[in-house]
Amino acid sequence: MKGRKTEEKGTGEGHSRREVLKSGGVLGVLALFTQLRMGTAEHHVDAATSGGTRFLRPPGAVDEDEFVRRCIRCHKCGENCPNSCIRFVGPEGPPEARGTPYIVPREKGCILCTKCNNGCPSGALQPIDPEHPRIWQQARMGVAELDTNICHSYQGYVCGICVRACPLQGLALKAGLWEKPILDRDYCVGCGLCEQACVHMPQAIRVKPLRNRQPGEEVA
Amino acid sequence: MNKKSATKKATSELDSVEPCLETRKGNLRSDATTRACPRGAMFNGDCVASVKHRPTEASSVVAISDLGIDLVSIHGSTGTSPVVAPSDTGILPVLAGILPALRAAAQRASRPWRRRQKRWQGPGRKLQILRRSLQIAVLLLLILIPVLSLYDHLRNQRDEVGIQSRWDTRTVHSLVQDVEQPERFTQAVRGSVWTLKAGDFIISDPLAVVDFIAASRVLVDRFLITALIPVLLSLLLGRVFCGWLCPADLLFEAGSRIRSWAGIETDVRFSRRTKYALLALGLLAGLLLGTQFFAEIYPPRIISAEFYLWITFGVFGAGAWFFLLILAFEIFVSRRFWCRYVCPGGALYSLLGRWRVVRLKVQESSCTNCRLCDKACEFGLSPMQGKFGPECNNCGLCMRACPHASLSYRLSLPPRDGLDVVSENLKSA
Repeated sequence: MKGRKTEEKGTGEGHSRREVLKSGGVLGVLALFTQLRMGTAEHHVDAATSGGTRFLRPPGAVDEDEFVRRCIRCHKCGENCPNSCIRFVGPEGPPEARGTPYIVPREKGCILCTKCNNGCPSGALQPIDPEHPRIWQQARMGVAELDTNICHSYQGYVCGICVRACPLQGLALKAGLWEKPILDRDYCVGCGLCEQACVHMPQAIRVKPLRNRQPGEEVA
Repeated sequence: MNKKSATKKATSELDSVEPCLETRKGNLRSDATTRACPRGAMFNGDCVASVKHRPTEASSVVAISDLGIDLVSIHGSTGTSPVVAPSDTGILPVLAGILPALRAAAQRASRPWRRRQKRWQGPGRKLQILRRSLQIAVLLLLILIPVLSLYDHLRNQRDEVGIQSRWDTRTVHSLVQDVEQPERFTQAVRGSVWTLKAGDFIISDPLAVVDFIAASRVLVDRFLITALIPVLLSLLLGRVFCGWLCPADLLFEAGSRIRSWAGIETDVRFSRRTKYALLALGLLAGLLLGTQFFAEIYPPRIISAEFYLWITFGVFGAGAWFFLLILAFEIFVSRRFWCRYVCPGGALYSLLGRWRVVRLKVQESSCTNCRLCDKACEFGLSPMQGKFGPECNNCGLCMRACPHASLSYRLSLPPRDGLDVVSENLKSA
């Protein structure tokens, strides 16, 4: 692809090639070892730089920058997902995120089965115990945002469909008077089932993907 | 009337011989019987013998040949008027015209095949069958895994209509519907050649691992260990993934076959070091920019990803166009361009396989310097001189091509001078 158009000289002339290889290899090894830090599958996060991002990643994903570094684009999470909610960034996406998984919650939310992250070979998706009593601390993908200006329950119609759809019903989404959804951001994992279920068009409840997906404060 | 008598004589002699295939459609209409057959005799053969009625109207010949059927080898039995079946008996005359034509076409097509079969009689023939079977099995597995995955999706969603609307998931459904716990089968294998999970056993491409280390700057031990088996295999057998398992190699070799079949001679050569440079460059870019690039340009991964995207979402990604572009470039411009000069995975495997112990060796005493092995080598190495170098993928094509069985696999340490040449007789060794 980037080849010089030189005449092929066979494999006999070893010296110059060996030199090229040597220099390149030495450079590469040096560059690797200066930058390499030994670590395990755990990741370090900086809580201060929390913010939004473009793609809603599957549950258990490490922070966005680290996720793009770690994902080997093997599509295994999509193959393992029984809900087939995982999409992959196509050629229209940003080049550094191409081939990485994401979820469009309006079309299909995540059911938190944790099959995708337990099949991830490279630790881009951290393993999650689906029976964990506080799963909302491990599977933080995003946070829902409620627009009370268009939500049916806040506008005089009794709806409450998002509360019924929420897997953490009673924690993340509670039904108030006349089925008004009351959102608790500490418990919300951003699975997007409420956004998928919302009957208002456009949706009154939206999931905002998190750039920094570390667990929030200890919730009792 | 010399011709006539000659024809009669030849007819009696050649009654049991297969039909003459050289006369074509045009001959028949003009004057089929008086035209000399290239075999030196006219023939009244099986093709018309199968039809019972043999009228002698020449007009029916014209009618049938007007249909555009390639009326090969329908000659007159008496030499004066061509004999064919009557046109009013329906399908039979058409068959009488088509069948020998088909047979002729088959024989024409089989002529180069027969030559090729002769080449297949070398000592490495069974090895090539094994190699092709492995490659095709890998390719089929790459199609099977997304189908199983899709079936699993639909089954989990109780989507009976979705399962029945596709023939592939329908087939899987008919196979596993009576089995208890079909998940054991449908979820047994996941992934691709990039990283494959069979049961609890995970195996990954070393390129994926190296790229992961460079981009993430983290050593995850449970991921590193998945590349152990490919690395060990490459240390022992060299670039063996390229020649024996890679699905892209199968298609690129098909492209190479198309090249030779179409007689395309253009072969632009590049430097072999390009791939090592690209490997280093890609790792460096991944290191600095914090993302992985090889997954998007590595053909075996592209093929598996495109199969997955096509079967699951019904669309192709950009990778399909990239792959077809490479294939077209290989066919028309540069033979085996990607594997020889560019592939970063091949570069990594070459580096690992530099000290391989299973090596192809050329036997000096029986070699006649015919260069057939050099021509057969897909990677453009020089087997005749023993210059396999680090890039030999042990595919054994040179071994098959050798008419004197001068090439063979041997267990040996890498030679000091880089030449894999055996001086003594292989048979005695």
